[in-house]
Amino acid sequence: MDDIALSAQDIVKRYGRRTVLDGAGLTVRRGEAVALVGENGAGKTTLLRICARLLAADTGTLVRHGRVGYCPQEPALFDLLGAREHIELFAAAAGLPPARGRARGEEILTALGYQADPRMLVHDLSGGTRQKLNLALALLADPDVLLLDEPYQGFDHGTYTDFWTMVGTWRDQGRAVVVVTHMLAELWRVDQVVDLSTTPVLTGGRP
Amino acid sequence: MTRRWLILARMQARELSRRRVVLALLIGLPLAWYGSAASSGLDYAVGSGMLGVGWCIGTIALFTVLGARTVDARLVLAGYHPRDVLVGRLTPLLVTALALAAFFTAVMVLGSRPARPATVALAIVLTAVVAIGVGLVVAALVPRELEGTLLLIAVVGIQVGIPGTVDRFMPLYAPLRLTDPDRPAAHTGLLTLHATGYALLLAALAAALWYRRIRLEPPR
Repeated sequence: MDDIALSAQDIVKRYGRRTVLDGAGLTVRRGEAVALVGENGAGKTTLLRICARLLAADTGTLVRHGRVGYCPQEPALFDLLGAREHIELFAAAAGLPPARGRARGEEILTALGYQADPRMLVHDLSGGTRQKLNLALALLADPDVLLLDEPYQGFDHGTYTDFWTMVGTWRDQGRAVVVVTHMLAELWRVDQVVDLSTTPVLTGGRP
Repeated sequence: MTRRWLILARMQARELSRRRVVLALLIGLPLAWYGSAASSGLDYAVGSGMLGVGWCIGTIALFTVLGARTVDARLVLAGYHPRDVLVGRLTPLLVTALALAAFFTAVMVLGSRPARPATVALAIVLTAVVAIGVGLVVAALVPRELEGTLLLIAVVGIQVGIPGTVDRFMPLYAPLRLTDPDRPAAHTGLLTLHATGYALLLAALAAALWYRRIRLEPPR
């Protein structure tokens, strides 16, 4: 049981009269990749935000170990700052020295095929490039638990394929990875599938 | 090592400095407000200009906080303390507001030759500080910029339109009264206290509401 990195159990979340999550849960171990699937409005993003502690559940328990990297579905960035400035900002949050933060940021952006000048302002970037920066910021602090909410939106085909390969790499490095996805063709790549549209939770993924 | 709020403040200042149209409007709108009243020979031109300054500063505070709300929560998740984020946001706002106050003090003192220029300077600085508090509280209460802007228009509109009983409970009451030439000089201290108290109260309320919005939920 010691290798559990994230456990959310019996999570209930209501918005007014609408119940979005009714007893949902997931358990992710270190070195495990989990896909969170379900139809639109099933509560995938809500559950991920609860796991990130950005949102409170009405009831349920959440246990988390280690540093968390969270990549929201919509890029949460400053329009009038460049990629390099974002990296500086988030590296400082993680307590990384500026030079190390910069080097790590450049390394991640390069791995994601970031083509733009890091000094270019976010509002001048394409949607896919913004999303690469959005994902890079989640990875910057070398997190133990990665919570990724459809992080590949707008990626070109090559980067999209590379992303799923990276999920495997992160898992092999011992991280716990949760990916919200609608890409059912990629589910063979993960260890466990948590389907919020059906109860009880389905368990699937790699053989 | 650099304090973390300083990095946030530096980035916030850079972002603000790249909003050239906003910066132009920050100067242009209160100038238009003041200039139109002064050119008509109205004796409340200084008060009118101050309302323009207050409205612009309140609006910039509103847009700064609401524009960063999704990123701020993420910054806290990434490792910043909410206090770092708050101070990092507030510092460039305060510097901008005080710079604007200094500029408009010069403009209005030279333009209107008030009997008590030091009191006018004090009133404009208090307007700037109170307006930040108003913008921050409104930003903490509304979901989007549109609702916040409407609320700020309402605050300024009520401030101007309803003198009397309600007026004295409005945030910019004291700074405006300070510029009233018929006011007894002895009231300066009380009015300063009123404005300072208002600014502190608004800042405390905004900080509490804002902290609730961006803090990480405690584990169950």
